Amino acid sequence: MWDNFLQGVLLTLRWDTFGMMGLGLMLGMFVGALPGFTTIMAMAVLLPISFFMDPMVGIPFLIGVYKGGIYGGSIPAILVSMPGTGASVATTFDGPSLTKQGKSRKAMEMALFSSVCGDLSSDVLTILFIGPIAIMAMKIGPPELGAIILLSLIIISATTSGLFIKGLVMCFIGLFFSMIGQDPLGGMSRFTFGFFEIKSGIPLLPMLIGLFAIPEILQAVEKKITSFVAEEFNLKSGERLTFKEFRRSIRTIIRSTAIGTSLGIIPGVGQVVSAFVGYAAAKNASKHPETYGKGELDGIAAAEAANNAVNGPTLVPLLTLGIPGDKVTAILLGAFIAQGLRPGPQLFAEQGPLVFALLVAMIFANLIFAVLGYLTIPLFAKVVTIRKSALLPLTAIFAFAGSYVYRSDPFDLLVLVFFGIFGYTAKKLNFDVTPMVMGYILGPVLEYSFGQTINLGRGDTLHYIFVARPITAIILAITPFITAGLWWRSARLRNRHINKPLSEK
Amino acid sequence: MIKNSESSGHSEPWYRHVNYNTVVATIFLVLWTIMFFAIPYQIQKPMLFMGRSLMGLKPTLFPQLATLSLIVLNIWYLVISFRLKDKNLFTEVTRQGYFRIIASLVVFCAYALLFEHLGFVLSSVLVAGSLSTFYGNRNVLVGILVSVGVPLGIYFVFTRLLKVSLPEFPFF
Repeated sequence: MWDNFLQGVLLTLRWDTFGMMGLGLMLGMFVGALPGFTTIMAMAVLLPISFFMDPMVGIPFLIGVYKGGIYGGSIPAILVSMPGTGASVATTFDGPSLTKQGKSRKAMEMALFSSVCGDLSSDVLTILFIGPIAIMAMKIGPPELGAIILLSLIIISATTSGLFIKGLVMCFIGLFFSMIGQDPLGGMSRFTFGFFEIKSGIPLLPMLIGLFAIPEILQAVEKKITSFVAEEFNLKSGERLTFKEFRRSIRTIIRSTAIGTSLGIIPGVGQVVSAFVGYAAAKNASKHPETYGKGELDGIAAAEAANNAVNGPTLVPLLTLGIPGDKVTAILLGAFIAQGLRPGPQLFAEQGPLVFALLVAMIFANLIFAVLGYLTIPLFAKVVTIRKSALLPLTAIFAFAGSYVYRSDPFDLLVLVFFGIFGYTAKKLNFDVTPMVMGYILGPVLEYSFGQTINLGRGDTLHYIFVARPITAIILAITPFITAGLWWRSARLRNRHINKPLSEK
Repeated sequence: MIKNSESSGHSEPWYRHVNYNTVVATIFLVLWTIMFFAIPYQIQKPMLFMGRSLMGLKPTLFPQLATLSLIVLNIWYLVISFRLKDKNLFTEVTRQGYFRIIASLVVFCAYALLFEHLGFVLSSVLVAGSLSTFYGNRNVLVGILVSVGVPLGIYFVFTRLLKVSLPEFPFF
């Protein structure tokens, strides 16, 4: 493991890796700073660029977009109370108040440094713990993998926005889409409905871009298009963050990092929950909680450190088990697959140095991010004033070009439009597409594990699972209880929502 | 305490509680039931050797399980749909909003169909120019930058830097 790590460090030390990470960070910050444009959309649209690069350049580029985007979202959250990404909603509690006090520069610098600290610490912890987890993951066989995937799909369906039942329906629709084409066991053609173009299955890339980029364009054009905000911000004269102020928030940053790191490893929880939990924990621990929500720098540090601390651990289930925990890791999985790498227990055995190289690249990305972010704060503060009428066509063209280049097949453009319409309709009917993407990505692995388990059982699968595979038996035994618990939680949240007076909603 | 609409709804006939979730659940239920019965006709039969299948597992088993799960989930969704109160967000879109969405989708479909015939640059210039004007851009310089500069820039990045092919110019 140590050798793999050292080789990984050497693999990372390339100027093109650093250059593309820097470019990714800048693009991520740019898109994150645009309210209504999400990091997911940026990653989906820029995903094809990574395909034509070396894995050690393309994947760090996407990681840069991701990290930059999460921080970028805090810029409009602080300046105009419009979170650029869901992860920065908790930053709007204190950011705008600080802007009103003329401390927007201070708030953005606190957001930057707490983001870097949270992210960097969680990346180091990920590197320390991913090795032992991977060793355990290598010992699991198809029955355990199948059971873990099933449980993960249920958890992801329950933790996404919207109702649990809707999440489950979407998850199984994704599972059905994954069955189109060929079955992973015998290569039998199925569900092609006479269309030759889908004989090898629905292409992943146009599907991802269609689901994550096109609905955002359509949602943006629903209303009359204007600038994101009309106001200009002059940050040159703003107050700067002092070391004393930063030192005062270090306890909060450590606490939020611990929260983000532990929540990040759970599939589906993500930055939004982490930011809220981190903020609430900081408020509870504070000696003066009444200042929270009225322009408290510690509040910015709590939310930003917590949401960025998710970035490293969220890769653990992806790299060790091949299970993407959220939209971002689903897109990263798309990048891995396009590069000919299949994340999972075998990836560590076959490509150990590469895996560590990617994790080390995340640490370097944070260091570049600290410098670039600090220098470009005034520049990205201006991004919020760009007109949407110029950016939306640009996004559409990039989405179409990106969908086409992977296979040079015009059919992929029709897939893009189809899933764009599907994603938009789902959004309007309160269905989250994330479980569908997870179902689509994990469907073939689940089916393969299912088939292997039945074959291993030699006609008595239940006996085989409950006698020869105790871990599988335990996971399968707790799955109904976890499902019932998640369903109860979902029902309780729904009832609470129904009972609320309209004014509170 | 404000009375829950779930508990107050006992005296009302069930059809008063029909909402968009009920409609979606019904459509899904019909669709997945049809799909369940279509499975044997939509999956290629495995090769036989001496009258026995070469595959240990029936290729219809997993799809049938997945589709059956979808049917069960949709029955559950249909049952609870009468109590659901979440809002159909389509009702919030204005008539002008629908017009802009449909117009954008028409442009996207035309773009997908003409992409190879007109070539990337020409089709993108037409799409970016028309969309940015339609979305309200009246600044000529920005219009030229978006509709000409961006497609040329993307063409350059993909074909020269990343060495991948995009449809060439149509006339030469």
